[in-house]
Amino acid sequence: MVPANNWWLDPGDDGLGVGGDSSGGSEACPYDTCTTVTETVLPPIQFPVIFTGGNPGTGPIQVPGTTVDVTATFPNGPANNWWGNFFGNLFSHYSWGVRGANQTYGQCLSQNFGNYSLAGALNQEGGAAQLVAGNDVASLLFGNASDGLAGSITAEGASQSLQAGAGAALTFGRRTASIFDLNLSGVTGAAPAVLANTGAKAAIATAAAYKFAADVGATGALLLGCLAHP
Amino acid sequence: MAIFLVAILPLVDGLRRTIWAVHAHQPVEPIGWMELVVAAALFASTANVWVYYLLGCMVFGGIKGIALLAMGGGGSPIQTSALLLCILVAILLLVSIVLRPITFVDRITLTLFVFSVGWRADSGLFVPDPSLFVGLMFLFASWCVNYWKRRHNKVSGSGASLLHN
Repeated sequence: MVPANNWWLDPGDDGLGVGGDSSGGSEACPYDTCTTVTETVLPPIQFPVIFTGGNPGTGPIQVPGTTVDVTATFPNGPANNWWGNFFGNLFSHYSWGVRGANQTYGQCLSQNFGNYSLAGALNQEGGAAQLVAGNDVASLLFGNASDGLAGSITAEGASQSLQAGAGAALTFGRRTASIFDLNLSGVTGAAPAVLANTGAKAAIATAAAYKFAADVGATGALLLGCLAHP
Repeated sequence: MAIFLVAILPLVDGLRRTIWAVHAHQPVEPIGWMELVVAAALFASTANVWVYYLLGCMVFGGIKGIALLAMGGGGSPIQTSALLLCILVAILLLVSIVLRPITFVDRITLTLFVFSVGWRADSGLFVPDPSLFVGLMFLFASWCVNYWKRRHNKVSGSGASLLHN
């Protein structure tokens, strides 16, 4: 367990700084492909910096207001141990719970929903990755609603409405005398006809159902994962 | 579907060992290339299933991208528009694939598309990069092959019918 007041760094970190530091930083070795990691960060830092899988990080004496290069070495070369780390994490008790200490269930869900998706599996947190490969169901339920809203609404809607023929307005049993039907028979674009005639509508509906099912499954895993503490 | 997610593991580690490691000036390992071969085999053999999931991701991404563009959210409008254009092109090409029986060429091009998308995933997924464009070119090549085959069959069919008559 990493002490709360110590910074720590995974060698495959995102380059945004050590641990939760947001002051920015740089890495010489992204994605565990080298044996030394150097990250430039702003103080205050409490040494030793703990690097996952590496020796304790070292650095110069801190001077307030200036950056510090924190360097750690990986004696066995972390590149050779990726599968070992993966299965080690998978089958150790660390993997069966993602909820942090002193964290409520809701906080766990909202913090980890991004990890339970295709983008999360690829360790991608960028906007474009989350846009295409994010978990829209979990995002809508537990995260920033504006992010997942469009996808989740269409997840259910596309599988239902595309098959049923979206856009067909229905009025049933209307007796409102003040409303006149002055509609003009317009000409629709080519898209609806093309979608219907080529079978693209059904294909997109099937694809939406696949995505929705995958997101629901990942959300189920998130719900389970947040039940337990590491 | 599960195989698709499983195949991502050797793909990521293979790319990490071979492609991304090259940029980090590390020696290339044969294990990495073996992992890529395994991933390619898994992707190609199950392409007829996960292509729907991929299409679903693109459709949702496209809808969200349009919403983002309309609301002015996300990054710069140019970046969002470029990504949206890529997504829409990918949707068109993927739909053209799922609407016909998936051929061997389709499986190969779909696998190459996934590889292309992941090629520079160390710097971000679906970020503007030549590899993304190359991936779309693979899908377009698949469409061209299919178009040429259909046209060829039609022409040869009409020729045969003319001869027959």
